[in-house]
Amino acid sequence: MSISYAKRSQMAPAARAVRAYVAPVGRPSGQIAAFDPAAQGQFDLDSPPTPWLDLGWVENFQRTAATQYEALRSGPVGNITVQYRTQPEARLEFDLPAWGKLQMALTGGTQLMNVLATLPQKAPQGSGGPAIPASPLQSGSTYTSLALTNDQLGLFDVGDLVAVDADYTGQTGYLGAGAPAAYLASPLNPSSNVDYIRRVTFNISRVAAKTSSALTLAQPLLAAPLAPGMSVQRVMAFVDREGSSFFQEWSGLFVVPADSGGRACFYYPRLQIAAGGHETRQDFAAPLFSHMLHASLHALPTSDVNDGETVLCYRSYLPAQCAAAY
Amino acid sequence: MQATKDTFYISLRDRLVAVDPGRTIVIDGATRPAIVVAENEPPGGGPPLCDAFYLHWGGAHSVVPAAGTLMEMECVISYRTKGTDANGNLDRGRDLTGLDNDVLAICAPPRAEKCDYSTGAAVDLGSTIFWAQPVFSALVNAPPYLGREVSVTVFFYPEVNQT
Repeated sequence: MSISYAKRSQMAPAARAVRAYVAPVGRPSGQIAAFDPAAQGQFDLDSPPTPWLDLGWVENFQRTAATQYEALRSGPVGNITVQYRTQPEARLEFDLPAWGKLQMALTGGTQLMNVLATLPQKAPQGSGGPAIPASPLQSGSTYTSLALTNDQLGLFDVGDLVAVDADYTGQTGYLGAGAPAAYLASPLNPSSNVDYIRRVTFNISRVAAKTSSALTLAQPLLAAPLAPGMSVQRVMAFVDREGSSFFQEWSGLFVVPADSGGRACFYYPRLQIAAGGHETRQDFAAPLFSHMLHASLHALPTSDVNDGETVLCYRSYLPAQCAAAY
Repeated sequence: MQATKDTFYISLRDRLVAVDPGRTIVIDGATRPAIVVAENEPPGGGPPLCDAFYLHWGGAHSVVPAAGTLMEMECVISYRTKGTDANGNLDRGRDLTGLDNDVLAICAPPRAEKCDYSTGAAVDLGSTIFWAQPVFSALVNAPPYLGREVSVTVFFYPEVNQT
């Protein structure tokens, strides 16, 4: 039986789910994570290329093009002479079954705060009260291992979530190592907000093991290499706040891997929240239900370096091995 | 359809060797992975062996009759165990769970490159087969055996009229 390289059957993708990835957008520089289908299109879904971060499988993936189509008309009956597009706009909605720092940040759209472990007997606060003082990182720390002095090691246990970043010293603008996590238009009081950057940073992980001198992390930190002067604090929860002013911005990549062969990729260079703060309930065995994070996102424009065209989203398709080309 | 059946069997067989190399059976004096295609065995063969997987192929039909050539075919994987005599056969349940775990392991990932094995060598046919999540039946208690049947729907493009 000879193989055919123009199978029409292989042109119809049959897939199970959509996998989502994000990469931070550099701000204020606007540097965007690239996705090149030729070089990166067939990546291992469990090991995305740098700097893409895995959000897991998503449900109810729905793209909406909202660009306006207008027409110039002429003649006595107003025939369409030419069409043109205005107000390029696209939206994207999906549900994330998995909850985590990145997932909540993308769907909440504003600062996603790390609720730091607090000192006892302090007044409770919605986004976390006065925190246990940070433990300074020692030399030899890496993005998977945090070296600490002996007395500080005792403050952490295997299983702890931790945030690693610099002390706040009165900066303004975008803050946070690895990804812009918040924006301050005016400075906070450094003496009472020394932990502010660690309250918002995406530079987090979970302690998988302890050695005599370091915490071993279960997942690599986003920001590598670690900067001198960074410290680590224990994180108890994540919290976002309806009413906040900050807009997260991420590049998004959504992959539909077809079991029948072929792969569709949807690359959004710039995504910001369009509507935040709601969840999708899906009953599956009453009274059990899944409570999924709902993402409603706006695609912001970029310019393609090849021809200067405005781009909201790149849709690419990597055909199956023997699919007909057309 | 034969290529689909053969590909599914060989994929599961090779995966079984990888995930549970000790799960073997002896048939006609030859030791082999404990997975068998029932229709490929002699018609007068003995009763099914314990601790082995038997693949039984069922019906097939088009997935969307009016469009495309994608088809689906049912495969039932049956197995049973009576535990071990050394343990007084009190480990039947645990042994059955071990078989269940092996089924889950060998069914993932739920796809394989389809090959033609009719010449004795694997010839890539340029398409894939893929299958739905296995569906486990209730436990079948037929003393001294505990057993189960697992249904898997396998999707494929028929080898005829493939374009």
